[in-house]
Amino acid sequence: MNSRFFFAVSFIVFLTGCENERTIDQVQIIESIGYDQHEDEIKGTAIYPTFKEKGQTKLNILTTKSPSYDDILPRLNTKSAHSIEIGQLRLVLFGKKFAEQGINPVIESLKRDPIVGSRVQLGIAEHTAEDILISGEHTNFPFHLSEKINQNIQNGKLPKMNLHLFLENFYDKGKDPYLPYFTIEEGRAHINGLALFKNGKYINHISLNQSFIVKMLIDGAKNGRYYIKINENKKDGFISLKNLDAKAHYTISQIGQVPNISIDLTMNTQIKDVPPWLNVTVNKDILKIENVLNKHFNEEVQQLISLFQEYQVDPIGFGEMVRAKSRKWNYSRFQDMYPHLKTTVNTKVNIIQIGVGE
Amino acid sequence: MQTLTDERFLVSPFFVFFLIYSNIIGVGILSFQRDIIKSAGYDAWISVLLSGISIHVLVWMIYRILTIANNDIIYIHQFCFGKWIGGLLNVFIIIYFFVVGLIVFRAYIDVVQAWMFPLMKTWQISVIFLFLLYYIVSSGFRVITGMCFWGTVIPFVFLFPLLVFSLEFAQFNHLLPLFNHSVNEILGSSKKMVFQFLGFETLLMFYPFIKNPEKSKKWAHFGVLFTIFLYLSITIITFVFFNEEHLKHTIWPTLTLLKIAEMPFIERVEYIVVSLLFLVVLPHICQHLWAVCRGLKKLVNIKQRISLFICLFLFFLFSNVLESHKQIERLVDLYSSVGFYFIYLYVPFLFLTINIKQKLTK
Repeated sequence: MNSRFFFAVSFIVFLTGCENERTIDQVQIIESIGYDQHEDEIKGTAIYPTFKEKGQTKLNILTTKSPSYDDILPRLNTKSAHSIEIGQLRLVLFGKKFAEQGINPVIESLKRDPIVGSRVQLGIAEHTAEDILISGEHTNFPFHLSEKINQNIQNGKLPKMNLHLFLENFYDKGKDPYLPYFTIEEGRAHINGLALFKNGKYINHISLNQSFIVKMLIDGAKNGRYYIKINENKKDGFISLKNLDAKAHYTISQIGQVPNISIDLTMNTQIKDVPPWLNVTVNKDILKIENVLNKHFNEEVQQLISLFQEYQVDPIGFGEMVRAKSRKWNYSRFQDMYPHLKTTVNTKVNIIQIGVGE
Repeated sequence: MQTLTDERFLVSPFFVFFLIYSNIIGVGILSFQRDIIKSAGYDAWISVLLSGISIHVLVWMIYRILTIANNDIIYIHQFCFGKWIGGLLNVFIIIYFFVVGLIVFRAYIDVVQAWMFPLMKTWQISVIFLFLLYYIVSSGFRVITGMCFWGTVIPFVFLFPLLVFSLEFAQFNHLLPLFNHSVNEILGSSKKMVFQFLGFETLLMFYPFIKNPEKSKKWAHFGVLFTIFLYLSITIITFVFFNEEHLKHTIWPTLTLLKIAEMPFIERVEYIVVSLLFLVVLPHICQHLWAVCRGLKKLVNIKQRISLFICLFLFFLFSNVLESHKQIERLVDLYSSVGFYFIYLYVPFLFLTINIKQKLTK
């Protein structure tokens, strides 16, 4: 009995150690990777942190060029003393030129790899992904770009996104994906809008304020600052507000022919700043502000939707909504009628908080 | 009611719940969604219900068959069809149980290789696995029942709550419009779903090992009901998490779904899930192996220990022969159609035969 027991235990000891050993000091954990189109070749840029002592990290950059994106990681491996691991990958960035050719092959290969997580963030860089990645090198703060996206999803104007949601929207015929759009401002990468996609190809991008409207229309935003310029009785000024809770409700009619979608957008907001000639403690002025805001958002939403119709992209997922309501939904038919889709928008902005001072 | 087996080998009727549950749930739970969505689309959750109900009917039939005979299938075959034909059928049923065990065994190793250790050879995992199998199966039916109990409780407690994480990205719109598929399409998916419920047939073998088998009836039905609940909730969560096209591109939807879970102290949950899944498949394989050995003992009177050795050796051999995912899939397809006809044609046939036989002998 005893010898048998030791024999069995010895298997546990001997067999566990022999496969797939990856010691943390002996791998290069890539945190972000970027792909750019450089003439005929693809340039890959990867960032990996090295940990010097407690609390101190250094970001390092590896770049390589190859005719195919598949080859980037193996090529990076040849430049590195330790084997490259992508288990901690948090961001995949694409240069605009690369994205115009279609990012779906890269995304699908990420999806096939069980090591890559579902919460990986993706992004588009205005010029090259390399610029954006290098611009963050001196921060020596690992994961700062992906954290930037996550933070802006939570507190800012970006709608919810990650690899999983991108794939969802990519495979969904009634919906199109979107990604954060990075530009460089004074040497630092910053999120400057939302890039729109159709069938995995970059189409165009919209501003950050418009991204906030997309966020409200899709997720029902819980957060986000917004300011608008108002002009009344020849007096200029800015109203700055914080969104507390927004909900969009959709009613779809005329499913047989060209559908008619009416959007009821309710926003509960907190007023942050108003021009001096308005007083937030006076009821009359609050009503006035609400009206101005109503009108503003109404127009913005309408404009944004017609912009989407012009680009033939559907990030809000009208197609999916119509599919959920109709018995026989046909993708190509919907595709044809999408530019003619009629939408009516009713916005209702409620100012429910005005801060604590006067 | 008198039983043929010594009292100390018996298990209480309550444990039939765990025996049935852990025999139904196998590796299929990781991937069944993608099979059932092919035909009925988002309406496939109806198919899960339909096939679940049919399993209830079959469990009822099997209990009728077994109460009449008050013995296991090996005896029933010889009683109904005589020594030779019955013997032949017994050989078939033993091969059937063997193949089921083998499939689950190999399919689990396939998951481990795909998700955790792509470089690990099949023989390395299977050797460790086989030692454990030998240890459990050779200790007898009561130990297997104990494994079933823990193989049910531990994974359920740890894994089921993880599904909640995915609700953050749920799109309930996917399920609409309801009933948008024809009856044929829904039945097509039900046929696929039946495969996931296969495994409860081992009841035909372990029936004599239940104390007060009459009382165990309700636990068996509870077991089936519970699996329906589990399958249904996983189906619905998967459907709101993935859209149809996305699901078709995902080989193990349940694992990909759990990948979204994020905890401060653990980056990726699916490694734990795959490891815990071991506890799910272990009792499943053990029971089928036990059924094979028990069958062989009654049929040709081989000692269970010897037949177990032979079975494990064959497991080792076949699991190494089946190298690629495609080959495993082909074997699974074969098994699913054989299993389908086994429970929907053969069990009712047996049900009728034994009823007629009983009337005649009276």
